[in-house]
Amino acid sequence: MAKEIVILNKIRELRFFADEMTQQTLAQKVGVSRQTIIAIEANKYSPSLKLAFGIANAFGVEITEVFSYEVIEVAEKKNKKKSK
Amino acid sequence: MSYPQKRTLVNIVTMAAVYTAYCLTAFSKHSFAGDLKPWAITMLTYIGVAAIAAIIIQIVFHIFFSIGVSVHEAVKRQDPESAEIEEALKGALVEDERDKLLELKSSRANSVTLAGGLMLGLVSLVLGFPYAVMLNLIYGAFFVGTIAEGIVNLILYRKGAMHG
Repeated sequence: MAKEIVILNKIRELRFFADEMTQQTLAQKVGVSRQTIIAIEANKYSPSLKLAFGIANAFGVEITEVFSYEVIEVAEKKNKKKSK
Repeated sequence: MSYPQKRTLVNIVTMAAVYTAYCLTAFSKHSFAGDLKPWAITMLTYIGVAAIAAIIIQIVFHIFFSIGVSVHEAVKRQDPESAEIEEALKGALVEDERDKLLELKSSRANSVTLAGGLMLGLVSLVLGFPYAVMLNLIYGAFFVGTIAEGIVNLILYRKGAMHG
């Protein structure tokens, strides 16, 4: 069965620990729209490396603390989507 | 809805309006069996109309959008400084990598529609329809393609899109 990499993030959690930083503030810090931050948080968009590093820099952490990945089977992914 | 989404919506409405105007004018004026020259003149005229309308409407939209953001910011912050309004405007007008990716992905819809229009035009010739039918199918594909691109773009904004 085919395997796929799913990128996960902890932006919501990091925003909470950064004095409940708003999505708008984070968006302004990294130079994107608030909608893009919303899409990344909801795993509807995978940012470029440049933006990913920018987000990590905005929180003052390493990129691995913001983004992680999971290797999943394609069928498994479909099931995950259904369960959502 | 973000600035690029609203701009796309305005673009769809503009193109639909111009194409409707073309259809109403051309189909009532010219005959499919006749010469192609009057068709070509009308088509060229409406290409110019579409380009000018798109530019003017985008400028007007940009002005109204900026006024809207400024008023919203003024109401929200209660007597904000001009620097704060400028900052909010900058944030609202930003176009980033996601917008570019979605634009790229949705442009495929335009190419597919154009190719479809060309194919239909050729099929119409094979089936023995007048040349004006073929010309109109190809011409229509340009407008429908732009509209399809906009619709796909808006769908992708809702659905989300990944690289690759």
